[in-house]
Amino acid sequence: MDAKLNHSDLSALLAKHADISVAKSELFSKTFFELIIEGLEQEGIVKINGLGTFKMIDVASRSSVNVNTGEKFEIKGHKKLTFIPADTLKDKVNKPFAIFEPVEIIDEYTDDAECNDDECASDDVYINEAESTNSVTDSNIIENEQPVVISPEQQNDITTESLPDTISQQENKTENLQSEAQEKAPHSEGSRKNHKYAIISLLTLAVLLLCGAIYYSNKNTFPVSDGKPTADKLSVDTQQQSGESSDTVNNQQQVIEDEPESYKFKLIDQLAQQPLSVITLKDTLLYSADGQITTHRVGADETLTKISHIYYNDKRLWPYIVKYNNMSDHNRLAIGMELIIPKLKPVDNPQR
Amino acid sequence: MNNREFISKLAQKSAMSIEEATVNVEQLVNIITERLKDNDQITVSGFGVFDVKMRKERISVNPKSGQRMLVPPKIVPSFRPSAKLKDKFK
Repeated sequence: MDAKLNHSDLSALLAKHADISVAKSELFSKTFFELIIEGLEQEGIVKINGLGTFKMIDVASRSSVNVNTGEKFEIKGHKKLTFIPADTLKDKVNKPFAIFEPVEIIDEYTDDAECNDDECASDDVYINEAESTNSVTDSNIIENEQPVVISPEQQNDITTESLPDTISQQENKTENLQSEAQEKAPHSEGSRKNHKYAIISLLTLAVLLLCGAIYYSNKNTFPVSDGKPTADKLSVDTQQQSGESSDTVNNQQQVIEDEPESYKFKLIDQLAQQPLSVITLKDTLLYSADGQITTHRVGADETLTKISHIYYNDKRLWPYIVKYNNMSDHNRLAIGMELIIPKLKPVDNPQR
Repeated sequence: MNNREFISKLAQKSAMSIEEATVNVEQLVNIITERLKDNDQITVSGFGVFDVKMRKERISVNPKSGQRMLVPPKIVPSFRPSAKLKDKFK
């Protein structure tokens, strides 16, 4: 398997199989090949049954370029030695792949002949059968797709390119594409009714899409009242009711969970009875902004908590950044955004 | 030169009878075929190299009908003449 044999190997094998002496077989095989050469010199063609045909072919002269200097030179016409393997040899060598045969490719496009039926324009109610067969050359041919087809000699790979020649040859084949294209640009050739239906359906679709878009864009803005940023101070104030930051909630939960159960319920009752403006948590942070430290340009993989940590050494202060940048949505941080980083001064907690 | 002529000349040159030569040529061809089947390479110095090449599957088009066919991959025998031989004919 994948071995390299030379002349002597060949002779040895011949000697074994033909039951002749090694010397004789060596001479024989040597003569064999010499005779082929002789035959080629004399007659230009030698045919050996079971092996193939050795043939001299004239090659026309062609101009070529010297790769180093770039100057042109002529490759003179000459003879070339070619070998055409015999069929038996080809079959035997190709035995592993003998089970495969060339297969017709059935494209999605249908032929001219087939397209005269009703089935041709199946999904598109608006397209007249008469249109699809005739209007090939008019409209843009390959709007959407599709690459096809290869010149056999040049490429043995499966890569397919869209060659303009072959595509133009296949103009007649692209009926279904045509009908798709036509949906977007309905022809005046068709009946007026179909024309109208097409426009109406497109309009309703557009209107529906618009509604959907508006709905979704509104959805994003609803949670924030007055369009202001969600967190102002990290305290549960009536002013900031709408925007309890996640941090605050967590803190609150932690405070409550630390205490024993009975105390927890007492505390909750107390909390429930007190007016909300009075409730301030033990570890509430309160800062006021006093000018700006700098502006920060958001890079990749940066979050508000990270940025807060960078400038304040405290992850919890990100809501201040949100507020002072008037961000409508603290979740939407874009790369390249310029954030104003306010200078924060802690204010004494009035409750503790 | 067809097969018959070739064998008769070969018999003459190698002092064999034509029947013998025929058998031997057959044997030689068989050996080459077998080796090529095993994807071995046969180099005959001064003459050339018998080799096998793999062809990948490809899509071919009948230029007239435009029918596309998927041609399966295959193994083909090939022959590369040696430089000496090429020069002889240049």
